[in-house]
Amino acid sequence: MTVHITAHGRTRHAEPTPDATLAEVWERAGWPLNTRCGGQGVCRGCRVSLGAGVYRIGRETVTVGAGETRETLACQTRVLSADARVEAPAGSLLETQGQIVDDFVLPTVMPDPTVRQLTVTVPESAPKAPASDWDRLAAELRRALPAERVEGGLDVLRALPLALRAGARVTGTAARLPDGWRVLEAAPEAAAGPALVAAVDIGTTTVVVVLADPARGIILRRAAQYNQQIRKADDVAARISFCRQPEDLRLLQDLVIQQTINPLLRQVCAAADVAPERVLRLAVAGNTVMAHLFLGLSPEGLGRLPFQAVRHVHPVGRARELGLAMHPAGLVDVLPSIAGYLGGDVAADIHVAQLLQRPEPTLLVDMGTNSEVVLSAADHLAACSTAAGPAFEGAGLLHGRRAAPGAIEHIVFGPALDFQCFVIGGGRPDGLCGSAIIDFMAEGFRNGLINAQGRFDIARLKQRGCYAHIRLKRGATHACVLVSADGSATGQAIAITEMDLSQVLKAKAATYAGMKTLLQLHGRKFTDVRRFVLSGGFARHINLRNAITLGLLPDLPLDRFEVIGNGALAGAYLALVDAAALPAMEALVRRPRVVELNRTADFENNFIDALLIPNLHADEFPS
Amino acid sequence: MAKNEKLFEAICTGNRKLVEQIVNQQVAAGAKVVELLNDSMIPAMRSMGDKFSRNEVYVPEMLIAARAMQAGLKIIEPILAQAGHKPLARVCVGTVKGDLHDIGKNLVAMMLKGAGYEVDDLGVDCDVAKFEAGVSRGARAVLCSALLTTTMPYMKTVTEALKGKGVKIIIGGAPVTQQYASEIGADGYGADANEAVKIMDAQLGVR
Repeated sequence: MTVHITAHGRTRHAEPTPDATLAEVWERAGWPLNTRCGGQGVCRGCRVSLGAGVYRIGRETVTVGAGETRETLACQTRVLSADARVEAPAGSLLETQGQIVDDFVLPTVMPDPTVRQLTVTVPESAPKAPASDWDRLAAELRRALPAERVEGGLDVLRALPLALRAGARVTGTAARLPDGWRVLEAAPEAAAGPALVAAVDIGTTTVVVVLADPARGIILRRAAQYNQQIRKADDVAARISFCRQPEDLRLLQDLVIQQTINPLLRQVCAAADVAPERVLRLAVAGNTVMAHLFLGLSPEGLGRLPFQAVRHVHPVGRARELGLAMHPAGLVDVLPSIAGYLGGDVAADIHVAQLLQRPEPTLLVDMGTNSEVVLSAADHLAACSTAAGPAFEGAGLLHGRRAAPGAIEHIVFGPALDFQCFVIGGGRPDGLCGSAIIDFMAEGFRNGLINAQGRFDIARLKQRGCYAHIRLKRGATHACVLVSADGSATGQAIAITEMDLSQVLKAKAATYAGMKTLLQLHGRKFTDVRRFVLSGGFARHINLRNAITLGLLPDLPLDRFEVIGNGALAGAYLALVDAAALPAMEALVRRPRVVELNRTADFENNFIDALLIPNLHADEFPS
Repeated sequence: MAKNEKLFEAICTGNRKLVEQIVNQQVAAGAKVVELLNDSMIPAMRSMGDKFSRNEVYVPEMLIAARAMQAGLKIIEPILAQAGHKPLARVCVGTVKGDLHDIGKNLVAMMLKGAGYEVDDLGVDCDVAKFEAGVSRGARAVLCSALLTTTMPYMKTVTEALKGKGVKIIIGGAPVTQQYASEIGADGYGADANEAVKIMDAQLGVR
């Protein structure tokens, strides 16, 4: 039985297995749809249009006549008749490429890698005092490292006689563990391959892998792609709901390891012209839920109060147990979590930004779908998480999209509404990402196009010929046309609606209120903050001045802001090249006072105040 | 008493200080607070709710207006209670067990108060016992909120526990749908705070 599926004007022919939902049919055909709610029929992300045929929608059997169409959710629909035709709008397809941010700023560290490769001369066994092959190798390695304890597994013992047969020069590759060193490999000097490491940032949306040479302390290659778990569910809560059954948990683990990390490892290794087996140690940073899913631990307890993890500080894992495309005896470090909603990514941020080493009052914010905020000063360390929603990542806006080629990333204009759009990768735009809407709202507010409530000056829009009245499912809304239909890549005008503005207002208010509440709880104000650290991909691309005008960031002198880029990836990288880093992160996770904003009376007031541009308390934004 | 335009406007624009000032002036001047409530304050919130339904205002403005309304109510509530003022009906609202999100729930509570209901706010992380306590205090309807797909299933538990006890069960929250409400046997579903008020009016037949 064939189903003809169409998207972007192209048609593919799929042969569904009995009882497969249309969402599964699309996924197997290589066009995964946006099933961010986990295929529960809730998010309406997988809308498709059914052509003539017989279908089952939920429990109901539906016949669509010739020449008719019917809209449905692919995850709730099965095909009953042969040669059915189904079409998906571009908005229902999962994007599979993105502009990935993997640059980061590192503090100065003394390199002390957790994987070392040493070539030693193993003496022959003395007839008067015979010593085993292992004892002789271990003695040399102890001296060379130097280390008190050196141990090795059966793989090494199996390879050792062969290595010694080739000569006395043996190259051992050893990894540092809390109680000594473990030899992962022993090979004849001439046959030894390089000993490399990989740092991985598992984001809810994006996964980044960096291949590095720990001995030289340099990054060799980097690669990134979307976390393939988004095929099943796109936010953290939906992923938790998805894996109620053990097989679903295994599926999500498989999606992140087999479908995401392993292809990336193969890609960076191929680019560096080495076999994936040359990766001997891997370090992973991610939020608490991502760490659980990577390790195959149930995230169930993280889904509701009291947001309990299975474990915060993880023992060193084995590549073999996790099925990673690296050396089978290789080791896997997972950065420790602070709490249910403050994961290894935040521990990495704190470590990389050296919040514990520097006494001045510092506020760190990692902006995303969930924004994490950390406040540090000589006498305290506190952290909280605040739900901003997906607007910063371009999602949930009429023409919003992720920061990928084709997206408008910056907008500049004056009172004449002469929009100048800067498109990632150049060319005609097909939408706009989070940094662009920040520019638009800030410029619009300065020029009087947008008022403090986030409403347009309709007369101005009409006068300049860029007004549109757009009908949406939830009703009609005023909009500003940014790029006309003939200037866009989609053939449709790109517009920003008042409903979009209200989404961004909520996102910026949640972030600003989170920061302000955390400061208030510690008897401080924004002006007391001497150092303001911005972490994460979105923050790397925003115009700080505009973010302040909008009231997303506090009105502080620009020189107090420090943009560190991907702090999670930097933390994973440091865990590999600086032996002191992981123990330091494991020690710091117990330090922060974890604040639950929803239980803090001031939060709601601060949130509502921040719903205006820049804020109900305009005095907080003198400039 | 005719509609106090200044008060009506102050609520709609969310000017909390001005609302407090006008209400205090009126109270001091001996105005009838019931009329102030029925002729100016409730119409203001109803008007905002209708604009919200027509997409003329969005959640941010609703929250700001609701907070201004709350400030005014706070002043007149004790006076109303003393005067033996009868609300439309008593209802209780709460966010279900395991969930701490309360801004959406608070807006629903505010809109209901703004529409003339007496609201027993049970807070967040409410188990069945808390909802039952609300019912035993005289609530004719129970409104459950959940913001997470992980906590939404608890609404089914609440619905099952309260079914047949002569109380209406209305559910809402970002992941909730009409389909889900029907599936678990809830009496109604509100897609947003204004709809929650309309469903409540219809279910209790008060308007």
